[in-house]
Amino acid sequence: MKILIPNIEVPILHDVAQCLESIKERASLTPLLWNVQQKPLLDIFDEGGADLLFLHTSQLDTSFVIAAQEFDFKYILVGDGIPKGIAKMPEVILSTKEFVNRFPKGSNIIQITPAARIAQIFNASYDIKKESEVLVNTDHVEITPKIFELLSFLTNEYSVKIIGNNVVNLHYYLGSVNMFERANFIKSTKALVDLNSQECWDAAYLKIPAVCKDPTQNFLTFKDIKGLKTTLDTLLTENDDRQRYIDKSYKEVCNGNTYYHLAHKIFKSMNNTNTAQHLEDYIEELIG
Amino acid sequence: MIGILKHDINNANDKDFFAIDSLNKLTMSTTTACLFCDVIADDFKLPVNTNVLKRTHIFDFNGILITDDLMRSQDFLYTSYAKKRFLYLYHLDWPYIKGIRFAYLEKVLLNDNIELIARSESHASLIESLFKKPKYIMPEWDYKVLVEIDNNE
Repeated sequence: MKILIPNIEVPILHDVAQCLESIKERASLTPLLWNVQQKPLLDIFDEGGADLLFLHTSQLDTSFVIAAQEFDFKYILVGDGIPKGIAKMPEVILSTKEFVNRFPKGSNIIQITPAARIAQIFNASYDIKKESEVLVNTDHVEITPKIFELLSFLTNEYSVKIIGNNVVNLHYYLGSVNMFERANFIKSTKALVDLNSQECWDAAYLKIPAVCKDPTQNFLTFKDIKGLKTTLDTLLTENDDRQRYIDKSYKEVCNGNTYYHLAHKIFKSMNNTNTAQHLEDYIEELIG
Repeated sequence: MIGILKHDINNANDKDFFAIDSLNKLTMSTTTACLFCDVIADDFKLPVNTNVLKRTHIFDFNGILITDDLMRSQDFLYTSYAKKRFLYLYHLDWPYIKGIRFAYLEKVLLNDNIELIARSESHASLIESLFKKPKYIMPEWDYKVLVEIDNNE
């Protein structure tokens, strides 16, 4: 089964692609990242097409209308809306909570929520060179004066390492990292402060306690610096509390909060039981 | 013998001034030294009274190499003849390097073949918490510490 996924800056597409890549042998899949800059949609069909396409809302243009008239294909739509009177409806729609109402009633919608990126992190290991008391990742975080104040506080109080794409002008900032480095940084810290509501899930899978800035169900959160300090001090010094929280968070991840679970849900809702079953088996192997 | 590696020498950097001042003082000591550098600004405020060689000569150098340029320190990875390699973290400037990646910092700052030098005790403590313990503390290219390094290594 040939599956084409556009290589664009939409995280869910990469998360699903990584999950499919892990099971491609056993499920006889050929997931391919498609460079949309170099290959227009119609060229895909001229070259034999695909059994399943992932498309983003921004790709539902004239080429899509032509392709829908001339070719028979299935697609999964990712995005924030769908044009009225669209030539061909998607099999599944993936969208976030705030945009779900924009789609026609009765559509097969699956809501995207943050989850653990196990495909990126499952092989993480402790690395003394990456060790820290508190880790912060600045990916998808705007460094506002308030965030800067928070980071400054952390660096004054704890042995901190800051990684990520958004630069922080503090000496504790160690630059951007790839997914393997990120995983090892998480595994090598004692506690993680989550500023983007995503890292907490990865930390939970790696059995590292996380404290979130934004209200995130199932995770400890903080309203102000004082609250953050109290929570971090507890997690760093009270072993029983720390272990209880780690166990609870891990259980929560295993309870359907990984991108493998989401991919499974997508294929199950399309009645593609073979791929869904392989994804389910793979999750079982990973989380036991 | 100590070889100091610089990209260019100019008046904009205090560290260039102190490095050349120190090299000039070393000419009156028992420690031999030289400078590997591609450009010295015409209006540089100090005379350069030491041997100056092109930067590419570091690859044949078999003495102790020291640089205070984090980006240039990557050259150390290919200096197989050097007796010892030191990165002097004069300014803690890695967060200000555009597009810095951890992989780059790891390659030099956590490299077993590259030792670190800090400028002060407080810098040393920060560097140790982030990377590894600096082997020496050298305030503003103090030539006495350079003599000590030459004697010890």
